[in-house]
Amino acid sequence: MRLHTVEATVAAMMSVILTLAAVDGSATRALAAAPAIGTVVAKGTFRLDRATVTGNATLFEGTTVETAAAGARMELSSGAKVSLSIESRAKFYGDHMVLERGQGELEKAATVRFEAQGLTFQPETGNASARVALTGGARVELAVLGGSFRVLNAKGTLVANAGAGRSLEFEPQSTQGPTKMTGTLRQASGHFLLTDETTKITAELAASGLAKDEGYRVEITGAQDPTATPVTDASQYVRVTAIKRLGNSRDAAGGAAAAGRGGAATAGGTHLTATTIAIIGGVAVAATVGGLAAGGKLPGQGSSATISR
Amino acid sequence: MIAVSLPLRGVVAGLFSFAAFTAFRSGAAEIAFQQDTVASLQKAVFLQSTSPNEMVERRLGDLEPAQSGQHLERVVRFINPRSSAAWIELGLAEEAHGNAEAAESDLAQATQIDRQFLPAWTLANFYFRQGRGDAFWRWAARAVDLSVDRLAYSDLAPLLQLADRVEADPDKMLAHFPSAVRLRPAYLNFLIGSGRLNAAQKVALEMTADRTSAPHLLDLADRQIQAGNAAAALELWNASSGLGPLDPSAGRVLSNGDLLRAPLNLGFDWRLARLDGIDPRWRPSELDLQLSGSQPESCSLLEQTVFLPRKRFRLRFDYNTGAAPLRGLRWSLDDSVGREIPSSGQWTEDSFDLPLLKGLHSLRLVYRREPGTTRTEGHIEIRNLRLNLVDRGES
Repeated sequence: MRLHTVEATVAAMMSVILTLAAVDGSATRALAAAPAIGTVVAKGTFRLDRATVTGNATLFEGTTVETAAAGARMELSSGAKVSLSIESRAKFYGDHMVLERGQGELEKAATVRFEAQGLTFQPETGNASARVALTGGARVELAVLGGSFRVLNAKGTLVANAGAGRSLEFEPQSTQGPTKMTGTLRQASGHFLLTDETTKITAELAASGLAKDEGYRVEITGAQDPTATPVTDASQYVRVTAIKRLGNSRDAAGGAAAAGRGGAATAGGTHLTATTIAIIGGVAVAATVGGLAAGGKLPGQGSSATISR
Repeated sequence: MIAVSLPLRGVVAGLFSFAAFTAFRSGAAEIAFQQDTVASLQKAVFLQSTSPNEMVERRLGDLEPAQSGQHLERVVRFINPRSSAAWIELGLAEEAHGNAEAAESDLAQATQIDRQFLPAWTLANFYFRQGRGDAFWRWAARAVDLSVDRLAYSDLAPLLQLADRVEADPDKMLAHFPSAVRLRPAYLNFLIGSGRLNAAQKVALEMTADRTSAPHLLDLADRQIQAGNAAAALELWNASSGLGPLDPSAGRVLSNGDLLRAPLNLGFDWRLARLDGIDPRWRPSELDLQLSGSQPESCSLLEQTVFLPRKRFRLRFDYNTGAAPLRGLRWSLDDSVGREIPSSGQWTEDSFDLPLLKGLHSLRLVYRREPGTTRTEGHIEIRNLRLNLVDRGES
């Protein structure tokens, strides 16, 4: 009986405390607030959330940095470094940043990832570096400068692997259309596999009569089956609805030659133009030449000032 | 013709050659700088070896982040020891490499050279990140002193955010700032922006003595009304509106009923319709609401938030609709609508009995198109509005 009284008293006190705390939002704020996640430095002014800041500032979880005439450089507590180009905007978190406008560069990314247009650019190694840019519409360009990145769509499906020196452009499609991949069809342990030339994604293919195309460079169209488990070497399981042989030779060189003749193909429903376009996980992917990868530095990081005398 | 000796000619020729060489070298350095690559900038440094350039070194630091410390060291040691920007960059680079002691020294050096906002702000940020409270407050206060009258309130938000993260209690936080009085409006703005109305109320009540703060306080009163915090809104309103104090328990619940002052369109004052087809005009003691006939079929023309005790009230008012008949006007309290106000070509008194309600409610003059009629066109003048307690016998 006495114990119940004590419990009741404690419960009453707790409810009073909780009620008082709920009265004012500030009371529920821990004094030891979440620590800073890094610093931002710019040679000029930039916007930190909605405030104009000159020079430098401290970054917190969820801070938005927006550059104007000068680029900005972020040093994150994780060791990752991010540069934002001029006229760019990104929201920063301890483990990722969301590019909302313009262009950014990620260096020494190990545990930090880029997000843009619902795509995630996930570094695979600690020294991975890449540039990511929103290039108009829903398009995002990735140029891998070092290490390698995995690119995932909004549902977490792997849509591309990109190693150093690769430059890819992505355009999420409004509807989850068919999967389209191009590569040399091969067979391993009784399973048909195809590694897409653009995205470097390997899929296990399912269809009747695939054996006759084995060893040929082909373009397949099909539907990804998320309920089926692909073999170890593959990350997707695709049920093929159409297959088109792109060369007459079984060897890879013949395939590559055919690729060169592919010209500026245009995938249905996408505006990307390149020699080969893949559509995986509802995202159109094309390899790009030049673009971000060709740039020696981020625009806006340079100085146009003359030497003072 | 002045005869020039041969040795003198040689000296002049030498000087010209030297000048030409210097100009050439300088031009080549300029071209190299413009190319903006590590190699070209290094060439620029080489060409300018007799007069090394701060900008080139700092740009090299940008392009070679791993060597930025060396380039910045060269700037502050040999080129321009009074470059606060270079000291700041160096300090931040040291901090990024985990050299807190060196970073503090460099950033402190910047504050010695440059007694403006940026070095103080940078050092305050550094101490925040290092978790050194006392030093943080000292430099945050210094930064505020250097900026509070120069920066927009919203641009003080990053500094206030740091301070707020260290100390969330407004009184304790402001106690760290000698210039707290000047900081309060910005802090109030920050707290309102963060949605912390109770903390904002605390700060606002310290600002009531300053008449210039009235717009901030009225803005907060309005937000307190929107949040349903009647007592807090009333407290601010009475302190800052400049209108007669409201006292619901004593039956004083209507503001600006005599319309001597133009409606503020916020707080407990009148809010005039801002709709196509309605043209509200205020003149001292009177409102003239013109309806063009193209107004919405149902809309509010005039509104005031009232804080009611659980007592019976009656609204009395004088009105004149002019010669043209005006249909569809009624008073309402929230969803309770009174009878239609009859057209009258001369000043007439009418009334509306409010339903028995308690708390914050909207008293409105509304228009609704009468069934079977077109939208009304004309105007109504209103004056002398009184919201009085109704005696039991009277009701």
